[in-house]
Amino acid sequence: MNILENKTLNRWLTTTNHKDVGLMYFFATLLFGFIGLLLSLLIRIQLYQPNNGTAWLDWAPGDDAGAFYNSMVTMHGAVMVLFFVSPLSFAFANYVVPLQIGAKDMAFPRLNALSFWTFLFGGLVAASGFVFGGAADVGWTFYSPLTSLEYSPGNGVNLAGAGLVLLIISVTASTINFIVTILYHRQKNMDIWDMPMFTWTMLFTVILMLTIFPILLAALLMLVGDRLFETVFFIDENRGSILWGHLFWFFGHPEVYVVLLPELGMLAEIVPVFARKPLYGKRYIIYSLIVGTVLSVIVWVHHMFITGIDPLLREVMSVTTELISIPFAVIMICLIATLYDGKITFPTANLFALGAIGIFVIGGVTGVFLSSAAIDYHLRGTYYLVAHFHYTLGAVTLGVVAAVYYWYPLMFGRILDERLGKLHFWGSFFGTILTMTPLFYLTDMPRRIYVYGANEHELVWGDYHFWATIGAFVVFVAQLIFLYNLIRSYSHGREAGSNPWNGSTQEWGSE
Amino acid sequence: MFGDVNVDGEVHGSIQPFLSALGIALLLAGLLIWPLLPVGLVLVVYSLWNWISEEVNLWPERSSITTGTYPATVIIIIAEALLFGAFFVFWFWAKWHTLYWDSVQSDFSEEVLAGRSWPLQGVDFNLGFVAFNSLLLFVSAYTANQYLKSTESSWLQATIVLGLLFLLGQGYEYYNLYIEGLDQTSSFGTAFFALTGIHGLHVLIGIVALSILFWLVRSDNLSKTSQLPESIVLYWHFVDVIWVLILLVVYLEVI
Amino acid sequence: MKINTIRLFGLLAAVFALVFSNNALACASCIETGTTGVHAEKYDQLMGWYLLIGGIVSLLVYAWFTWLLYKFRASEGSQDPEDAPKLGEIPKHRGDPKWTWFVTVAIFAILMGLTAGTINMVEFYENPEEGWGDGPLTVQVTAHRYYWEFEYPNGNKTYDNLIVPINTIVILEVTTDDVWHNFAVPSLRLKIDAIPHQTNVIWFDAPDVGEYPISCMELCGSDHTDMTGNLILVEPEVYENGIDEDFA
Repeated sequence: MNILENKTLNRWLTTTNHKDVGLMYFFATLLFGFIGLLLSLLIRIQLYQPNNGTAWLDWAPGDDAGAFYNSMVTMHGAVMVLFFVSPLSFAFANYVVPLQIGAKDMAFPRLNALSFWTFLFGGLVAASGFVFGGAADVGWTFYSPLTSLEYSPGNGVNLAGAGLVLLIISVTASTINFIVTILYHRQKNMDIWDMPMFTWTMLFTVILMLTIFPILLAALLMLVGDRLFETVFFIDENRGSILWGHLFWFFGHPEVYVVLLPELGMLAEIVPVFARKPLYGKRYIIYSLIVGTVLSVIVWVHHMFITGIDPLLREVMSVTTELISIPFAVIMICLIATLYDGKITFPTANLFALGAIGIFVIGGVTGVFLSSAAIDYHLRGTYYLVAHFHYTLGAVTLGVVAAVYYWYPLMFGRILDERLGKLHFWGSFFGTILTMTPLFYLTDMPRRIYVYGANEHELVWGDYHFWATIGAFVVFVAQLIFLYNLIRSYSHGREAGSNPWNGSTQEWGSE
Repeated sequence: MFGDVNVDGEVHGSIQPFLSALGIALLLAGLLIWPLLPVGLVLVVYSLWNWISEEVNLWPERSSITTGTYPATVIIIIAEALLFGAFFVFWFWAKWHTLYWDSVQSDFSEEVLAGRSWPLQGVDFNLGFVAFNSLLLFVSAYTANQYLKSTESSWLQATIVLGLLFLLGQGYEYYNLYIEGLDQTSSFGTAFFALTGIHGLHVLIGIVALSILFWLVRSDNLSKTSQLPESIVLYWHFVDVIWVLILLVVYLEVI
Repeated sequence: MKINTIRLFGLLAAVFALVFSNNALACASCIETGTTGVHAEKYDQLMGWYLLIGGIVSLLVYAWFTWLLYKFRASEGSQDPEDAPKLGEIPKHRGDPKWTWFVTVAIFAILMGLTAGTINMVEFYENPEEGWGDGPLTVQVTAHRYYWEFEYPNGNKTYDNLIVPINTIVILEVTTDDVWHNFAVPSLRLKIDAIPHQTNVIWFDAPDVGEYPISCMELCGSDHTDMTGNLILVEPEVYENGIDEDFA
């Protein structure tokens, strides 16, 4: 039992302190983030020229290049959305929210630790498919009947399902913890309207999570039942495809707002601090968040516009989807308006925040295009869609990285190196644009194909993919710089003092 | 910087969350690799047991546990209600597609469609027995409430026994239906077993929670300010309400 | 270079990059070849409106954003504004409801205008000129892993290549034999899911002879990549003569 007497190990395995849990989330998500990033690089390498051979894919377990490529696409999506961006926000939420509202800790510290460990094991179980004979290769949407035993006999889908169930346990525990903490453990004199924006957005995030993750759990239980216990939830006679579509997208669409909301909160913390002005229209932002949260659960059919679903439903959901852009446009406008009359400085944290706003505008506008049922008829399933959601999620990631620069001094006592940081920013910013902009042109190329170039027209796609691949490498190199910066500044960074950015929220006043 | 292991003199540290998470992970992996299943199960039970015993020792100093339990239970109930909601959705979805999705809208042959029925042909619910079984659950709701009023632990005991009897009754009903030919390989069977099975699982969770409460009361470990009794009773009522919905929808087919 | 020059350069480069990618939105669908048919025409018109308005709105936002960044940048010796964030103080409320309402109503008006176009277009896709009944030509499309099967009114079948006459209303009844597929002809702006035991219908009417690629646009398994085909539009006479012999 020597290992249990190891002090460091023992400390981290047994800790329940919200700061420790936050840090563990931070490191774990960096790990998953790099897994996701490497997968995306492999995808980009495969696509960089037309008629690229599949020799290297053939080394993959299962001797099936297509299946391996599909599993990379699937795991890239699932890992990045569910195990990187969203939990990275929770790293900060764990660390910062209790400090911002003057709570001693989370309401249920042990439950919080359980959240982290189930999340970690969930990610590892889901990704372990790569080691055990092939990860899930059915797309992160898990459309039925492709996921049935008949068409996916391997263990990948089972493992991904088990990983997601663990994630749901984690998320449910977090939900309980954050709602109770935020509503019941604020310091005595803090009115709910006085809560900092990040805490506000976390409140909406967990409320939204509470609404949607039980549905995902139900869908996964049904899927696991079908695969392991011979139930018949998703058989054709029940029109299982459409049923899965409804259940999955009822979860899947709000999930992108679960990813987005904390990032908006981070921007609303960071931009005012570096503009030296109070946030413009805090109340309007909060009202917008309420409207956006409610609307986000009644738009899911826009993922199913071409399934032959009732045209009236398509039109209604088209309208709700277009409407949901209003609250988020208001939030963006308020964030930009915050700059007015300010004294704007540009440390890396603010660069990332402003860059995130800049990139998000394009993601949002293209989202309005896609919200139209008619336009979606043509663009769904193409690289245009891929470019759209990478612009939004890219913006989210930039925003979360802004938070890393912003709160790193709080967590580690030192400021991340500014020179490296700026390299990181410009690399990430231009890299993202270079990767994703060319893909907007490929409105006739299907997603998730790994070879193209059968005819003259398809050869043209190669030019665009070439630049996208270059962009992906720029992003990758920038992230290596980031990693180096994270490690180096831990020991060599400038001492931060207690309030390096002149922030107004309480976490900067704590020890 | 790093969080301290001791915050304000409160000892938070515990290995149990890690062990529980590991146990749950092994349990799930056990669905694929059977030998892991018992390992996971043992680990989960062991760690949760230790978790509770450790918490008991901490309660006098821990205010959050006493003030947060009730809202936490409400949140859990909301999540569970949505979970049941999804299974009810499946019930109606499968029913509709069995009864009304005919060969005009789908391209199934008449034979395939004729083989589907709702409720499944040849399966008759023993409504008298179901009514008796339901009565057990409803009485248990009453006894649970009586416990809250009187704080007599014998009411708790009665509630647990009634809950267990209900589960036994449900097992008996399952056995009879199985003999009649109802299993999970038909849409009706899947929908039926999913709804009632998950409800039964929740009854079981409720019984475990009640038993823990009973043990705490008996060993005099329940602090005066704890919200645990009303939280667990609230959960028990939630399980009851779901059963009423199941009665109306599944057995009486009012919708 | 002075630090401010570098900053200015960075700002300009960033704005340029964003405007460049904005331009990409406006250029969307411009590399597609062989566009044909009445759907494509109407679709491109609607998309044009979306692109125009989306482009103008985002460029306005960028212009305003850039101006703010430039105008209110910190310069040497400039003082913090009076209401600058200060530790431990709840920031004062800032903002004017009338601007928020203005933004909300403006966006709402724009979106509803665009939505009217969308609904119009959905109705167009849903209602072929002569109804869904027995149009001039109805083809059964069945997706398989990993090929397309087309069955013509006379019972003939072709695989991967769909051959139909020009200037005819063609109705496709799309379904699948196994998993979820998606039948797409980008040049004609057509796309419809192929779902097990469900028949989805789609129609088109195209005037130009030629070959237009068909793709499967929903992940359907390991050879999803290979699931391609061609829509071959021919003169009606060629179709009448050929459907029995050459193409079968």
